[in-house]
Amino acid sequence: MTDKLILPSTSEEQSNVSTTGYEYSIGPKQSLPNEANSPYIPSKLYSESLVYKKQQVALSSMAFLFKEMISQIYNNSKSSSEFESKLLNYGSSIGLRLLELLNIRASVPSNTYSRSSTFLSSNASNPSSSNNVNSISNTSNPNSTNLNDISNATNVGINSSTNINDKNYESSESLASLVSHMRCRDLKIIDILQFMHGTVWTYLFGSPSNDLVKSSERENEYMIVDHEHMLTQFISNNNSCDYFVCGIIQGFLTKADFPCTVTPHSNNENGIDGGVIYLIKFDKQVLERENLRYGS
Amino acid sequence: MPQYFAIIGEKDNPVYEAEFTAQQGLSGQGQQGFPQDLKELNPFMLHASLDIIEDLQWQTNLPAHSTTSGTTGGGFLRSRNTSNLSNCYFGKVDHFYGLIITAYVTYSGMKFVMVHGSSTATTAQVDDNSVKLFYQEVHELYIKTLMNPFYTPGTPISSSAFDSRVRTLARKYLNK
Amino acid sequence: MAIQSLLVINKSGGLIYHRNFDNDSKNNSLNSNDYLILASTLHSVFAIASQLTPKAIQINQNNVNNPNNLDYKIPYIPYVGMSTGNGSDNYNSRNGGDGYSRNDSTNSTNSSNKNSKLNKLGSFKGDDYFKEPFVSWNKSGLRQLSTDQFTMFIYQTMTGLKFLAISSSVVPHSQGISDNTQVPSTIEKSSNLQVQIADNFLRKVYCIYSDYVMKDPFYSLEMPIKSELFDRKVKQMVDNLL
Repeated sequence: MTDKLILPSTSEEQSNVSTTGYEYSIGPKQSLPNEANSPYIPSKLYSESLVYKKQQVALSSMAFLFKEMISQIYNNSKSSSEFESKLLNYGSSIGLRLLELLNIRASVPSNTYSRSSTFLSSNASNPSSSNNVNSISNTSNPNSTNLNDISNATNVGINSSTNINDKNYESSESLASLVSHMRCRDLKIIDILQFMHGTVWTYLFGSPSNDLVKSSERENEYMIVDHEHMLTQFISNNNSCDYFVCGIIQGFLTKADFPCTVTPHSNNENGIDGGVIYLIKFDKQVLERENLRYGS
Repeated sequence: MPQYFAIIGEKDNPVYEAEFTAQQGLSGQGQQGFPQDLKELNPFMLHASLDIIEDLQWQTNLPAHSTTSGTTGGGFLRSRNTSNLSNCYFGKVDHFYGLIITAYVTYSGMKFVMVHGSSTATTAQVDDNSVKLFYQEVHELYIKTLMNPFYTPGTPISSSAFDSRVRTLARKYLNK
Repeated sequence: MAIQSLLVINKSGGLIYHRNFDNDSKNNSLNSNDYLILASTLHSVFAIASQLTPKAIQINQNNVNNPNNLDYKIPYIPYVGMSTGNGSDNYNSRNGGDGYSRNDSTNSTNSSNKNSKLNKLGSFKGDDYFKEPFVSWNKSGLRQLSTDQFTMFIYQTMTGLKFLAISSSVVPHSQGISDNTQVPSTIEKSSNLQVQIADNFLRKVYCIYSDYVMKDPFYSLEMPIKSELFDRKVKQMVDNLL
C-alpha cells in the first residue's frame, strides 16, 4: 500500500520508473538521462496499424454471438429496464471507441485509397471503396451499390475495402504521419448526425442508414431510420434488443459532447417489417449551445 | 527546453502526464528539466488553461482573426498557424510568465495540453508544425489505447508501452 | 401443390409448431390437443418405420454402384417457394436448368430488386436459400405418406427435428417411394418429383427455422415456437408455392 501513497513531486525519482508507465499517484515522470537507449517495449496493440482492413464476419456467427450476449444479459437482469440499460452500456462502450477510430480513419487523405485501388481488381472492390470515400463526405449513394455491396451487406463488421497492399505503409504503423489535416471535429448536431448516418453506419452495417429525419414537432429530436436492422433482424417482436445499437449511437454522441438519450421504435406499418427507428433526444444544453454559438 | 505534457479527461482528471527534457551531451548529463518550483506549478498552469480550451472547442471559425483582440473569448494568444481544415489543434492557447501552453482536442473531447518551458530567460518558442505532428501521433496512440478492451476510457493510462512511445515521439518532434 | 398444414416436431416427439394454411374454418376440426397426439403418433410411426426398413435396402445403401438402390441425394429444384422477381412461377423455373442463367440476368439488371429479396432471406446470400443438391438425412424413416385425401411429406434434420407438410394433392396410384421400382415410370417420375419439391420446400423451412428460431435469444430449445417472424416467413413461402 505504501507505494500507492501520493508522493510530493519533490521526492526522488523512483529507481524502477523506467520499466513502468504513467503512475497516477506519482505524477509526471521526467525523462531519464539514457532514455533514448532504453529497450523498446514491444506491444501488439501499439504496433498494429489503424488503417482499414477488409475483415468480414459472417452474419450467422454475428447473430449467434449477439443472441448469446442478449440471453446472458437477460438472465442476469431482474427487470426489463435493467436489461435495457445494461445493453445500452454495452453499446455505448463501443460507440465511444468508434468516435475516435472512425474520425481518424476519415482523416487519412483519400488519395491514399486511390493509390491502393490500383491493386484491386477493377470491378470487384472499387465501388465499395468509392462508397466509402463518398460516405466520408457525407453523401449517401444508394445508386452506386452493386452486387458486391449487396453481398457485403449481409456481413457485419469492418466493411471497407481498402486493401493497402503497400508493405512500407503497414510497417510504418502510424496513420497520423500521413495525415496533413485531421478531420474537423463535428461541432453541429447536423454534422455529427450526418457522420453517424453515413460513415458509422457504413462501418457497422455495410451501407448508410436509410434515412435521417428531424422531428417537426420537437426541436431536439432526430431520427435515424434503419430498414435492415442487421443485428436484431432475427429477433421477433422485441424492441429492447435494439437498445444495443441505441447504446452505440448514444455513446458516440455523448462522448462527442452531444449528450442525448436514444430509444428504439419499431417502424411496422400494416404488419410489414419496416425496420427500426432510433429516436435521438438531445439534452437541452446541446440546443442552447447550438443557439449561442451558431444561432443567427 | 523542457515540456510538461498531459492528457486531460472529460472530468478534468489527468489521464496521462509526462515531462520531457532535452538531452544534452552524449551521456545526457546536462538535461534541463523544469526548476523544482515550476514543476509543482505546471499542473496548475495547465488546468488554468482548460477554460480557454473549452471555449475554443466550440468555435467553428478557427482562423486566427482574433489574435490581436484580447477581449473576446480566449483566443488572444492563438497562433496563426491553425487552419480552417482542421480544428483539433488549437496552437497556443495561453501563456504564463514566458511559458507557453498549447492544446489539442480529440474527437471525444480529450484535451492534450502541453506547457512549453524555456531553456533560458527568454520566452519559449513553439514550432507549431512539429507540435501539431506530435499531438497527432499521440492522438493515434491514444486511439490504439482505446482499442484495448481492458482499458476503461477516462482512467489513467499506465501502459509502459504507451509511455515509451510518447517519449520517443517527444524526442522526435519536440527536442530535436 | 397446396400445403394445407405444416408441423414441426422436436426430437422427443413433442409438437413445437403447427399451422394450418387453408382458410376453410370447417376443416379445422382438430383442436390443439389433437395435434399434440398426432405429432407424437407420427413420431412413433416414424421410429417404427425406420425399424421396418428392409435389411436389403439398408445394405444396398452402401453399394454406390447399384443402380437399384435408393438415391438419397435430393436434386436442387430452383425457386421452390420463392417469389421470383420477373413473375415466372415455380413450374417454369423448375423445367430445365434455366434457373441459373435467369438468375444471372436478374443479377445484372436490377440490383435493387435483389436487395429487397435479400432482406427476406436473412443470413442466406443470393436469391435462393441454397443452390446445390443435398443429401437427405432421412435414410431409414418415413418420407411420404399418401392417402386418397392428402399426401404427407416428412423432412428430418440431422438433429432429429422433423418438418411435416400435409398437402392436399393426391399422388395418383402411387404406393410411396419405397416401392417405386415396381410402378410405371411416369407415375414414379411424378411421385418422385413431388417428393423432391417437398424436400426442397421443407429444407427451406428448415433454413428459416435456423435463422428466425435458432437466432432468437428468447427461444428455449425444444419448446414451442412463438416467433412471429418465423410464422410470417413460412406463410410467405407457402403462399408463393400456390
